Order: sequence, then structure tokens, then C-alpha cells
Amino acid sequence: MSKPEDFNEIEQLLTNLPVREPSQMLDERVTATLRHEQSALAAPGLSQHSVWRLTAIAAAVALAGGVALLLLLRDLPPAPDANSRLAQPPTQPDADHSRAPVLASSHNTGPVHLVWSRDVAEQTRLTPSGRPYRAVVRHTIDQRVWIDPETGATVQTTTPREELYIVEQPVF
Amino acid sequence: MNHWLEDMYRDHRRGLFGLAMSVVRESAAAEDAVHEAFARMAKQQTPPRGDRAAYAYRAVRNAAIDQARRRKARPSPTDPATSLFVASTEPDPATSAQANETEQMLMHAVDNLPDAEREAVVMRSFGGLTFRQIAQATGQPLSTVSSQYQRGLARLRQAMEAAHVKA
Repeated sequence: MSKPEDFNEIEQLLTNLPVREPSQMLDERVTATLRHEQSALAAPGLSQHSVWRLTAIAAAVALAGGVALLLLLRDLPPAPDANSRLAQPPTQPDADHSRAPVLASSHNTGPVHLVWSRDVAEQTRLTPSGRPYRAVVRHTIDQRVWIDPETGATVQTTTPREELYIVEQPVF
Repeated sequence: MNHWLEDMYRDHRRGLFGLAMSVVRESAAAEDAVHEAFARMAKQQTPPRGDRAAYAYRAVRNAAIDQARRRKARPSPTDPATSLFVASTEPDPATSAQANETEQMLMHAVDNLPDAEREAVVMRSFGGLTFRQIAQATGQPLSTVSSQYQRGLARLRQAMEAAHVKA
């Protein structure tokens, strides 16, 4: 192989060759792209900072909302107990009638009390004496949450319950 | 963030475009490759570590290879439009006819070099890169790049000598 210094003349000739130049259009395309990308990269930098600030604000608002909700729940009247619900059986025994959860709480020191219930009406039947009735099964989930106001620790209990109501049907 | 890219393009536009031309052999595709490479580099959040010129040449080379793959047929190197050089339309009156002839022969010889050797010659002679930078740009060992460059120059000299003998 020839030594590098042997090619000095050729290298000199090469540097003087009229190399094809990129067009002015390419210059403009590259410049525009670089500036566009630069502005695009700069924007997320600002918004990223804003995102952190917004996240902090949202977290503070959520925390305040949670505290307010807890305070509100503690001040709600207590839920009716099982006996009071038994005293008021469903009057419209439609099939699969569901209820929204009921929020209840004991005054001040009691737990947060949530009740989900669903009524399922069964077929109309006759009593031995021949009177029509409809059985309605009420499925209830009773949830109670105790919150320690000092530490924020919670204790939760969930009690499923099923109650059977016999509803007399009118005779036409 | 992209100031180094603007500087890079300003300082190396000819070498980068020459490298892309060397790969794709077509002016419009070479420009697309250069533009695509700079668009890719501009999307990077942080500047590259190491040699930035080698990084830019590598990006342009990769984009040019992508362009060449997308093209169905590779243009013939005998086509003047595929040449790395432009024909001198207004020859310098002070330049002798023999010098013009030598220049033409050398341009033809460069255009017909094997790809790897031509790329090494273009990056070294027109881009001003060191062998180490060329090695980083092509992903080849330093000794390989040096050998390719030396072989390319040897081939150019042989072509020149053969043309002179014929003349």
C-alpha cells in the first residue's frame, strides 16, 4: 500500500474539484425545520413546568375536597336501622329494582355508613287460603367506615344481608 | 437547543450533501436525506455525546441509505445528473485545457469509486473529517476507514495515470 504522503497531489486536486452544492431550497428547509423543532421543544419545557404546578394544585384541591366530604359525611343523619326498613317494606315490588347507595353516619363520632340495596321480585303465589302475594327479596350491603380523625386510619366493615318481604297483591 | 445543528449545517452543508449524493446518486433524494437527518436530530432532546460532526454525518448517511432503499432503481453513475460534481459552465480562462481535462478525469474517477471508498474520500476531502470521525460516522474500525481512503486515492491515481498514458 502506498504511504499517505504519496497522495498529496491527488488530495490537493480533490479539494479543488467543483463539488455539487446543496440548493438554497434545502438551506431553507433545514433552517425552517430546526427552528420549528426548537420552538416545539421549548414549549413542552414550559408546559412541563406548568404541569407540575397544576398537578400540585390539583392534589391540594383533591385533598381539600376529600376532607370536606368527610366532614360532610360525619354531619349527616344516621341511617335507618334494619328494624325501620322492615317496618317499611317495598310498596312497588318491581323486578330488579335497585337503589343508589345511601349515605349515612352517626352523629359526630360514628362511622361513615353506606348502604347498597336491591329489590328482586319473585313470581306471584297464592297462600293456602287462596290470597295472592308476591315475595320480594331485598339484598343489602351495609358498609361502615370508621376514620380516626387524628391519624386518618380507617377501619371498614362490609355486611351483606338478604331480607324477604311478603307483599299482598290486590285481587281484581 | 438546536443551535449546534444550525452551526453544523452551516459548516458542513457541502460535505453532508456530498455524502448523501455519494449514497443516493440523485440530487433531490440527497437533499431529502439531509433534511430528514436534520429533522431527526432536531427531535432529540439533548445534544449528542462525543463528536457532533461524526454524529451528523452518521445521521445523514443513515438517512441517505434509507432513501436509497426506498428507491427502486439506483441511477447509473455515468449519468451526469448523478455526479458529485458540477460541470464548469464558464471555465476559468486562466486554467489550461490540460488542467480542465485532469479535473474531468478525476471527477469521473471519483464518481466511479466503490461505495465505501467514495464515502471515505468524500467525508475526508470535502467534509474535512478525520479518520476517527469517519470511523464513528460509518461505524467501522479506524484501520478499515483509513484503508478504504488509501485504496480510494490509489485507485484515483491509477485512473489518472491510465488516462494520461492513453492520451
